[in-house]
Amino acid sequence: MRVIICLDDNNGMLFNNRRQSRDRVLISDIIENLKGEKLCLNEFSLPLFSEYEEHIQVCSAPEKGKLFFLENLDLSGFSKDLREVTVYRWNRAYPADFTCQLDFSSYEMVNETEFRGSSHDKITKLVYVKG
Amino acid sequence: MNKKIISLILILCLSFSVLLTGCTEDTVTDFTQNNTQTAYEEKTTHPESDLYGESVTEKQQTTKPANSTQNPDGYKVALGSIPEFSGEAYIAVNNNIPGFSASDRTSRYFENYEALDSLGRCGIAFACLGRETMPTEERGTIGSVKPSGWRTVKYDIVDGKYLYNRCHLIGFQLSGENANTRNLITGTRYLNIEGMLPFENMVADYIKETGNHVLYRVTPVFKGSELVCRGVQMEAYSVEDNGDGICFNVYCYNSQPGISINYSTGESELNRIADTTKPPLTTQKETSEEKTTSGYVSNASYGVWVTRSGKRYHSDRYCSNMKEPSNITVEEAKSQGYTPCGKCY
Repeated sequence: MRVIICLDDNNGMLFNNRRQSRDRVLISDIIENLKGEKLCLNEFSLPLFSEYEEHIQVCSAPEKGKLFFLENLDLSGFSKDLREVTVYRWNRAYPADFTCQLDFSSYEMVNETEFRGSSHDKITKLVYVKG
Repeated sequence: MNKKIISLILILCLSFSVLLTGCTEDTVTDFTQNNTQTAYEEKTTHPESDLYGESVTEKQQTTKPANSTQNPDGYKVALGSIPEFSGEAYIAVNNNIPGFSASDRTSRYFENYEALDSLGRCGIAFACLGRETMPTEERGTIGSVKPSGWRTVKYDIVDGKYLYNRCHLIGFQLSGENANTRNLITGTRYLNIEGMLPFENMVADYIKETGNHVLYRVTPVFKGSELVCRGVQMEAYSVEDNGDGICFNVYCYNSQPGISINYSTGESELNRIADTTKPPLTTQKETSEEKTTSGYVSNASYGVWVTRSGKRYHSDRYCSNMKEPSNITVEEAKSQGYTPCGKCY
């Protein structure tokens, strides 16, 4: 099971049932790295990928062997089967009432890249693999 | 003759009912349900509703509470209903549903700043924000502005040392407003950075990304004739997507952990942890040990910031662009081999 999440400086994900932020370049980066694989996501995330319908598959939750874009689910609930986590960091502080509770101590960061988003000066992409 | 009398009575009755409808706050409009008709009637009755808004999704009290805001309309957050500050920079108000009326709903940008009151205090700042309102020039200086209750005072436990910032009601990144006296309040560093800034960031990045507009209202909440507000109410609603992107109603505390504030004057002091006669203010750098022995809360009890990969501990949460710092005590930091950062210590 592999998951992609977006986090702010305080590991926040949502505020008032709304995503903290969005960025077209980030979405484009996700799609470009699919390499033919379908990206799973739930209905909450559908609007972000309206231009890429051919690349996505609607699933209710992460599944084994699949790549899931996760915004409104507790990632720690899937930690047992989680093999890889890609974290996009906004490098901004936003309000949050729903945060990522995953303990990254058992993961190793294997890749770190930065790029400029459409509305964010710097987005950091971190890839963690379970050690 | 009888017809004239009946007509006159009917007109009087109609006028009286219109007056009642326009004056009561019990007329509730749910913006999220787009109750345009009711809101339009209210707005035509009270043109000033452009500034105050008149509708909320739940009934609000119609009389001014003892600890009310300066807003006599009473639909705003009542200070008496806000719990004491307990370490959270902000709390949701009215289930995060803002109090804009349907007639406020416009995608035409504007900015409105209430005039200062007789005590020199800021009032409500209300805007429809968009790319049009965002700054096109570098931020200018605002040091010449002295908002009500302003004091220049430094504490070691405050990020950046200065307790008070000139806080924009509507942030510069949203409004491009520099030294507008109607838009600057005396706010703690904590209010500025931990309370208001995250919401400003969220709105600014949403506007940049979508090109949409956001109704945005910030109300400083004063108690009585105090010069420093107790907090600010922030409301926002994205117009074009009916609040799907941005929708919040929060109260941010004008507090600073570890420091007590006299809101009447702006004076302040470190929180005492024991009986002491130590003078309240300091502009000199003390070590955490000195503060502890003098009976004041020290950095040790307030905590320092460290990262897993770092070797230094920091008083400033944002020093050295730390990623995911943890807050631990100075003693813990020392015992784990961390040493003080040369920049923020």
